[in-house]
Amino acid sequence: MHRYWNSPLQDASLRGLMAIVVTMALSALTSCVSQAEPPHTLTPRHVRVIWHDDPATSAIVSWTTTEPGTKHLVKLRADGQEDWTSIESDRNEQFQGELGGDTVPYAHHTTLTDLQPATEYHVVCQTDDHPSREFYFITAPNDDRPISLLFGGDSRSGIDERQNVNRMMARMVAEQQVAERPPILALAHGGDFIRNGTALDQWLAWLDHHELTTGDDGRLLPIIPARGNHDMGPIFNQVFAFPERDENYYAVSLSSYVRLATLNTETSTAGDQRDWLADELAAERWNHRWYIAQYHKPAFPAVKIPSGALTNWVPLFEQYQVNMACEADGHVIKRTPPLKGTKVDPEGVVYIGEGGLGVGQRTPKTSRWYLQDTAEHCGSEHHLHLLTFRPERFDCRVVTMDGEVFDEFTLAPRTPPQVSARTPDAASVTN
Amino acid sequence: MSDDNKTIDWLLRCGVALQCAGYAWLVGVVLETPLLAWLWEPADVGGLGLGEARGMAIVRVVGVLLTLAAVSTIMRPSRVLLGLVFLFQLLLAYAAWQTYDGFPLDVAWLGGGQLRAWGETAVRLFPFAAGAARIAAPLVLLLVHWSKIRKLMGIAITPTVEWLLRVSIALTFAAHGLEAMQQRGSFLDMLIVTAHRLFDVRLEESTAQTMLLIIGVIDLVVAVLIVARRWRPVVGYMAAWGLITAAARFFALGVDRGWYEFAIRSAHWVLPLVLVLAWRLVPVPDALLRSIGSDD
Ligand SMILES: [Fe+2]
Repeated sequence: MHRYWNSPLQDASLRGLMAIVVTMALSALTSCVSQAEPPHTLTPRHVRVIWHDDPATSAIVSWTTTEPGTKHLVKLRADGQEDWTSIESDRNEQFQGELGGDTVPYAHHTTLTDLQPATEYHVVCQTDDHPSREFYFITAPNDDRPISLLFGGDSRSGIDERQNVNRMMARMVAEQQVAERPPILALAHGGDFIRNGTALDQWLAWLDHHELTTGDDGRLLPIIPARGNHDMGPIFNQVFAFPERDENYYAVSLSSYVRLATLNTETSTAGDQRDWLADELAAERWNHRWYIAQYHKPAFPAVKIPSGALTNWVPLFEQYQVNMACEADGHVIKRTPPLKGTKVDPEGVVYIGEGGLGVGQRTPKTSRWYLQDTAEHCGSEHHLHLLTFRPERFDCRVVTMDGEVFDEFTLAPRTPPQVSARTPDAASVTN
Repeated sequence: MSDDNKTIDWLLRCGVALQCAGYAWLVGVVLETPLLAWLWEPADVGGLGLGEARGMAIVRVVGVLLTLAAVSTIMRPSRVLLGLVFLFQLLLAYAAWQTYDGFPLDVAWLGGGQLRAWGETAVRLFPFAAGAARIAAPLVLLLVHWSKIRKLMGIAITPTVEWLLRVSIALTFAAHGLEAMQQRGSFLDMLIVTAHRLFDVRLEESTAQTMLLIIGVIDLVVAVLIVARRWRPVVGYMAAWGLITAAARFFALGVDRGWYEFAIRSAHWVLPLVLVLAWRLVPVPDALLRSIGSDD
């Protein structure tokens, strides 16, 4: 294993110096905090960016207030501009659920449209006269520049670990920027955010902890959420700005050549969702060099029983040569070889997973036929996946909570079928 | 002993044995049940925090005991093993309750406030209702197989046993009916996939939703009827429907997964079938039962 980032703290003297500086900074901060007024009930918190649609030109900015307020807006400016534009929120509602007699807070969502691709936007959320601090996020590009995406799942338990992984995400986003590596655009979360989806207190704790993914400089990490079996009930759609009865399956283009489909294993997998996936793949698959899917319950589980994804989606993944399926729920590190038609096949789909954003880890059952060849790449550590896309290659790294790279491999692009009839597919996996 | 009462005894023995065999495989070989999750998950998420290795060791032992129970129930029923099977079924429902396993019923229709809060608490106990027939099956066999009345008079189903059967079947049908009415995704998939595999018909989801709504309403109606009336056509329908829905697992999941998913649902059709047979016999007056020292 090697480290994902090269920390200057590896030097002992530097570590000592840093410890003194950090201690002093912390004590100063603590004294400030202890003297600070508690935030006003209308001060926006849980500020986040959600991507459902076209992340090159649109985004949803959401926040929470304790009291309802009367006027809610997002102030927006592109980097380099001086003038702020105010956009009123398009949805304000009280969260569903109870807090044992405490005031149930309010969710606010503002949809931003007509944004410019690959552009830094500064945002301030405001309810009545109470603004948040200034944040910023970067829209997805619509060209073929290299990009990265974080994928992870299962943050429902292991609260300390969940917070540590979130801090690590913020560090990784900053590190990519400093090292001029392909920027991390967003976090694709494979579901099981919390233990009980109808428990509002658990969602509010998750939202508190999600703030840790925001950089010190205010950089927000957009989230692309998938629903897990523990995320039952209506609050999921309130937290992630889906319409009230939405089924939570959708696709976003992360650049001109990368597309991500988010599917929902917690509703019918064989009905309308399968039809939608078939249409989506027929329309979009070969417009994108890289096509990946994320969903919660695995088709090729490392510990549990296959979900409906195996019967209803895998044939479509195989037909359209989807490059990778990102799965969760099992609480292990998993990587399969490319699979097609119940056997290992270079033209098949690679399945990764299965959730390490906090939950206790299990032991992968590597005796299963689809894990035997990749047993050494499976494990039991808290982790997330860093997916880096370039036109000519797709790198996948599994980064554990201590910053080690547990596994990495590369996929080569597919050739669309009409061309592959003349030129054999060059798909391959290299370690 | 009448032929029907012998049949009832054997029907129950076969049903419970099949249920044990299915669970032995699911718990001890497939391993992935709420029981394992409850054993290994940490306490802050409802588990016992025993760790995965210990949890697996325990469920493997449970799997062996269930295998023994399956064999002995056919060869020579054991009170101890059947008692353990009953406790296992209770524990499984308890584990599902603790780990939020199973279909989350929507209680938003209860509005807000206290009523909804109660509703949310009640639906968490849903695994006990959905599994009521499976929990009751070993208990019914215990009460029937060693019944003095059965041995003396050939009467297998005493009033206590009959009410145990009626209430447990009603709970299981009502629970599944509510899940069907709320359009449980896996039920929709089972309808769509089974229609496709059996009849090569592509069922629209909207059609499947309508079918599921009708199925759910019928489930609720027969759940009420089995408690309210001693109607053999009702329990006959329940036996047939229980068998069809259990057997649908073969078509939806294939034989390798379908067989144990079918087996663990034996009680869904065996228990109503017991009532079909029992209600063919002339009911015995309670006074007569009391006079000869009934098990009740
Ligand atoms: Fe899960």
